[in-house]
Amino acid sequence: MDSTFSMSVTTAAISRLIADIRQFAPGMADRAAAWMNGLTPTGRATDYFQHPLAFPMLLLPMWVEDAVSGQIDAAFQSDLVYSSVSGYYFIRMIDNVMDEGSPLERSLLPMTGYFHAQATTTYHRYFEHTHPFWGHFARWNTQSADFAIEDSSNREIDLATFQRIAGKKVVAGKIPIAAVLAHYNQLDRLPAWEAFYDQLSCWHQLLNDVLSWKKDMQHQSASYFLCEGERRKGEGESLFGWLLREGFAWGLATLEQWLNDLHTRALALDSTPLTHYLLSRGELLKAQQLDMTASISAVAQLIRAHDTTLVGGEPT
Amino acid sequence: MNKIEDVIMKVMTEPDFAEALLASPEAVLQSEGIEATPEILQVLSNLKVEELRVMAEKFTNQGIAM
Repeated sequence: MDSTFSMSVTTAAISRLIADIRQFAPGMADRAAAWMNGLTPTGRATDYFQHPLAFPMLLLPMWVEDAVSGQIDAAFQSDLVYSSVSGYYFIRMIDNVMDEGSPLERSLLPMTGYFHAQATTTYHRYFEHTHPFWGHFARWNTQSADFAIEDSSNREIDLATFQRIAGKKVVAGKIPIAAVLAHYNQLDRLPAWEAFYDQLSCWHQLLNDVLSWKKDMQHQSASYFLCEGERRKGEGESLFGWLLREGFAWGLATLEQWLNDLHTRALALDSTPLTHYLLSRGELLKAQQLDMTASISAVAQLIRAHDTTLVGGEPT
Repeated sequence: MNKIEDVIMKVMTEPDFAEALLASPEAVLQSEGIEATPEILQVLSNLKVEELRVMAEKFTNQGIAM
């Protein structure tokens, strides 16, 4: 299993999805493809899922299969990716429209039914309607909807709330993990993978929070990172002042600590590619820490230079 | 948020603004309502456009699936 395989099955899944739309609903195929491709600055839908900083929702089922069976069933994984990509577009379009999305997204809203059907029917090939897999499917499918509703109304996020809702944001990504374990009759291993998944969701969401601070501040979107800043900032200090003084450093240090916790939890899963993935994320995080810490420290000196003028009365 | 913090936020997230500020600090600071003191000009002279551009790209955070 390598990134080439992941890239090829993702590309194939998106091509298949667009081809299916073109066959069944040619009138909206071009607009649907434009929306899917438009989610990434590169204009290629595949890049969206293959971004090195992306949540590894398409890779996790491959790592699970490798861990429980020592092999990768290419056809099975292709179906899982097709379902996951369809499910992602289903959730993303609803989220965007709820966030007052573009006219294009609103015009394509009826497509959500199609995306959801593609995400669901794929699993009918593998599991009878009485199979325990469907219980997990129904639970996470509902929790995903619950999150979309709760997310738009949550204004105050403490650590406990964050840990509860961060996992829900990508909860639908647990479905293909359960599918792999069910396929190999190893659903007893689901709790360990689910616990890891929840912890990884929190780590990834905090990374998003730290990198998206400006967008969240401008849109007045509540994030755990900014809520923590509101709680930690000094008297009379602005939220941005806190970010410069210690906030970014706190966020990056917390990410490093949580990543160490993920390494510990991953040991029980006995997955070499997962360990490699965590190591590569650690290297990326370290590089970001080096770049950002130096640059932030350099621009933050403007505050001291400005304050010197104010306190000193006249510049020296 | 005060004026200097507003300028810093733009420097961190808007590469074109940062480039203009480093090229013409007095003029840009004046347009932002900030006095171009020697201390501030000294700090600005140590900033590098490319490093600021890299930082801004990290904080743009577009195209990452979650």
